[in-house]
Amino acid sequence: MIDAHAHLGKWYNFYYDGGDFLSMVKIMDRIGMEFAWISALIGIGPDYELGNEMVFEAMNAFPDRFKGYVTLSPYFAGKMEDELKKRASQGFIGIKLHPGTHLYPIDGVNYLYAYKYADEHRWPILIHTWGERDVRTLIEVAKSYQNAIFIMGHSGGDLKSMLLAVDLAKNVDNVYLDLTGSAMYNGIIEYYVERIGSDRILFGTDFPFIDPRPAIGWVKGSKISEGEKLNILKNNAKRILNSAK
Amino acid sequence: MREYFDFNVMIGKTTVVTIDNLLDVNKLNEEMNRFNIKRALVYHSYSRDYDAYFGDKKLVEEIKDCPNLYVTWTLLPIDIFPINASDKLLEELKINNVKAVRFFPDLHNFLLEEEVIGDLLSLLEEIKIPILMSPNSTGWKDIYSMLKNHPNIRLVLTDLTYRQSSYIFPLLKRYKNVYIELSGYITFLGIETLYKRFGGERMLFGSNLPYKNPGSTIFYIEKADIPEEVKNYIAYKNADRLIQEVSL
Repeated sequence: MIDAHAHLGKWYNFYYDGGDFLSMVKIMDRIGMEFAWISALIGIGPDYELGNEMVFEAMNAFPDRFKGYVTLSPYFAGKMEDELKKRASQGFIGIKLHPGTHLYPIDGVNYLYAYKYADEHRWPILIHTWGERDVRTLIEVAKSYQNAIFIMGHSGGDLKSMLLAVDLAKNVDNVYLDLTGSAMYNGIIEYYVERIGSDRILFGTDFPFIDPRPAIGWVKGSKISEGEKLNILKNNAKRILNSAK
Repeated sequence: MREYFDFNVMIGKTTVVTIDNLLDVNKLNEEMNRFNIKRALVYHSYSRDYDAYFGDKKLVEEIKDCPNLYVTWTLLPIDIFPINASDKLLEELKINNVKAVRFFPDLHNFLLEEEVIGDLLSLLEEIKIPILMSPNSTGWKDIYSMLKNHPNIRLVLTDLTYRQSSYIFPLLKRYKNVYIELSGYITFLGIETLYKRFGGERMLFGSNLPYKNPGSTIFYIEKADIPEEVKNYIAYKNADRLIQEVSL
């Protein structure tokens, strides 16, 4: 399996053991996770550059186990071009934006360069979404950058937004629905597959922000076919990775 | 496949229906079979969303032919519960074979202050019946003060979140009868951390059906880096012991 929405490090307002890349690899070995696509938690917090550096360190230590998203901050829009070039040369693939922690709108002008870059390179761009407004905005932005892969982080987060997300994403082929979330609503995977099939649903866990095991059990325990589970847990992420320039 | 005892299941219709995953007894048994859940402690949605005592009686009626399902009654402070005398309540709990109780303080509009719930807690403490409660339906300060006044109640914290270790650890350290139902406690390495710090005797498997898929917590337990025998305690032995120790 592949975790397409994972992190690295600690978070400021709650405790957990570990969170460093060694503790992550240990648990990945235990559960048979091929690799995790990560951004550092400090990167979506106060220091995106340090975050990207931490991800690079993890990628260097375990090249087969970690893929890196380049985290960008809307408050340093002028530095996006250099940061993206630098990190692309280091092997990063994809962009991570967190409008929630940065308190910045998805369609804000300071994100435009990131969208343009992802569009030119067929990169995935993982955007945290929470609430109906985020869902609607991401869909509209995705329509303007059709070569980029828009991963709708948490698919809107709360249950009503998640239901809206699948309806709106149905006819927008470059939008993928991300299963990451603490709630893991019973029945939502079946609901998604019934409406848009299994090709645009991505497995993610927020690991180590949240333990990855419950999310795996959720997918494995859902009432969909084994082939559909495999698409969600692995094939879709592989396809995105292989199509990136 | 390991057997499980599910400590957190609800049956019945709810006011809000977003996804059709609600359970009656038949559907619950199907789900239990899928995951090798042999026994479950069940409460009724009507007790939460309509009227506590009405739902409690409805639950007893609905599961009367299912020896694998155990009764959880939702209670209110004794002053506002239809059975408002301690001896009568004890009798009712016994007649209806109640094995655990639940409180929804915020939802049902009552405080966990000693003046409100102290008498009832003393009674429940005496009969060693598990009290299930989510900190999200009250607040951590209330849970702390409740335990200060009644340190021996068997309190099972349900529907936790991954952000709550800072509240949970001090309680597990000080109160030997505080238990963690695992369905919401999905913090990174949470099971391993609880085991290292407090042992495996106070973790309980719960699914939070119908809201969550039992596969989540089962996979978490099965893949935990703890001894196999401890997994059995978490899966069903701790739950069996708690139920057996109820003295009605």
